[in-house]
Amino acid sequence: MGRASVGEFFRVALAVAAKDIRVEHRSRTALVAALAFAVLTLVIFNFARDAASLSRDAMAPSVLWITFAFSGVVALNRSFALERENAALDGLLMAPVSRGALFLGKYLANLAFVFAVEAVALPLFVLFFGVDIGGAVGGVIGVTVLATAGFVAVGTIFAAMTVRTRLAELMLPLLLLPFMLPPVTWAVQATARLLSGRPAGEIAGWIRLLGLYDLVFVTACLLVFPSLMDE
Amino acid sequence: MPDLHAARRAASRGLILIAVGLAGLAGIYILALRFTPVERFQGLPQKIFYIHVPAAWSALVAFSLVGIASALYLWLRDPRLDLFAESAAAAGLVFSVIMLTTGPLWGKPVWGTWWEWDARLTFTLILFFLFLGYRALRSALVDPLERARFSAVVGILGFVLVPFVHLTVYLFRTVHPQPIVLKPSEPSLPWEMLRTLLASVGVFTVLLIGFVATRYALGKMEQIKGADDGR
Amino acid sequence: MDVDPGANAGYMVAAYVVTAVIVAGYALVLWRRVRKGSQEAREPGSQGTTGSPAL
Repeated sequence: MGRASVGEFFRVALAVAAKDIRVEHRSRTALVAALAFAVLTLVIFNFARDAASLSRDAMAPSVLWITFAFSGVVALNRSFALERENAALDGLLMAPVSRGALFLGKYLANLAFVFAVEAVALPLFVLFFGVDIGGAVGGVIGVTVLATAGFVAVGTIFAAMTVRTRLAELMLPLLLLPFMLPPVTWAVQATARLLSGRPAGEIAGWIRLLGLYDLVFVTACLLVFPSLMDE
Repeated sequence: MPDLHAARRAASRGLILIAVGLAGLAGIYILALRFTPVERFQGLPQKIFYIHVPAAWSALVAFSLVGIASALYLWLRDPRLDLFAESAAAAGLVFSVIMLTTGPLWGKPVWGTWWEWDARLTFTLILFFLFLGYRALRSALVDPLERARFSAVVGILGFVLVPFVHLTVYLFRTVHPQPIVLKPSEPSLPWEMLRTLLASVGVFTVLLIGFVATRYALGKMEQIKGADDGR
Repeated sequence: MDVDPGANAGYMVAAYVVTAVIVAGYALVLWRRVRKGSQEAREPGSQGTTGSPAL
């Protein structure tokens, strides 16, 4: 593969991602829906918690990640729905672009959506739950990025598949749930340790796992995506 | 039509194998209940072990078959591989339902709760959802080629997921009984229990093969008849 | 401490019964479908088209 085609690959991917982000920016429906969902989840958890029985600190990491996970799925659901509505996917496919570049572009756009939601949800979480995040901010952000990168890759694949089915909004979470469990549970573990100020050595293992998961699944998704787009 | 006769004979052979498996299962019941000593600490419920573990084994084998057949399908595009994957997934679903029902029935008397979010039970649940999602996706897709491709992607990604779930097993302290058979050193099960377990694994394997073979032959029969009607 | 061997027998029985029902049940489903397929094949033109069988 010559250097020209590698550059082309990334240019196409970025173009696809930019287009998706531009489209979403104009209508903003997915972003708004996901944000509203995140805020709602945080508020409900805050009120549903029985202050006497469950300490905030114990619940905090789980609440954060439930919020991230659910709003991530909401964001993902919308991403291919836009394509379906505009029949834009067929147009894209007719262009002589590498399928891998197409996946990367969609993946980056979805990442941008979900990161945007998380970027709003995290400060709100700190606010609502009175979490003393202090020096752990960097670590929490890092863990969030790693875990999100993992399940958004698989979510991009499944969103592409389920957009063509009936009950798409139900099918995506059903398929995605098993794939979210490992990164989300590891992220909760790591976040819990970060928030309670554990030494970095304890957290390194979880970070490595998350990184491994990302590596394996982004690669696997890149490899299988072309099969989805066959004629 | 010679092909149809061949398929019907194959289906009958599969059914005979299932019948053998059923007889074997009855034999295992007798073996486990009458001729195997009662475990000292858990009492009678421990005997569920002789059903739960072989069912887990069969579910895992079925799942691997789905994964391998899916990968081969995407590579070779042979529709027989797709039918095989579908058949294995159906059998796997049956065995994972057995796992999910016998697990809590064993857990309640021994650990005190119906469910523990320990890694191994969670693994059971994940496997079940993967099988369920695979089937749900298949029934939501109409075009046979698209259905084959998309479910193959799910099969492959699910197969890639399993080691990560397995990793999680060893990272969490778990209530689940530690692996006593597959330890590197010699198994710590007394011989009478080990032989019952191994016999049961054999029977469950026979059942798995029977289920898959019959379902495959059935699929062939339906395909041939569909073709005969001029579709 | 050794547990009273007769205790909690109900759970064991339930698990064994449920397993037998599930296994035999699926075997029965498959058997009936094979029989249905074989019978219909003897009547030409009576078989409607199908996609993949559900289970």
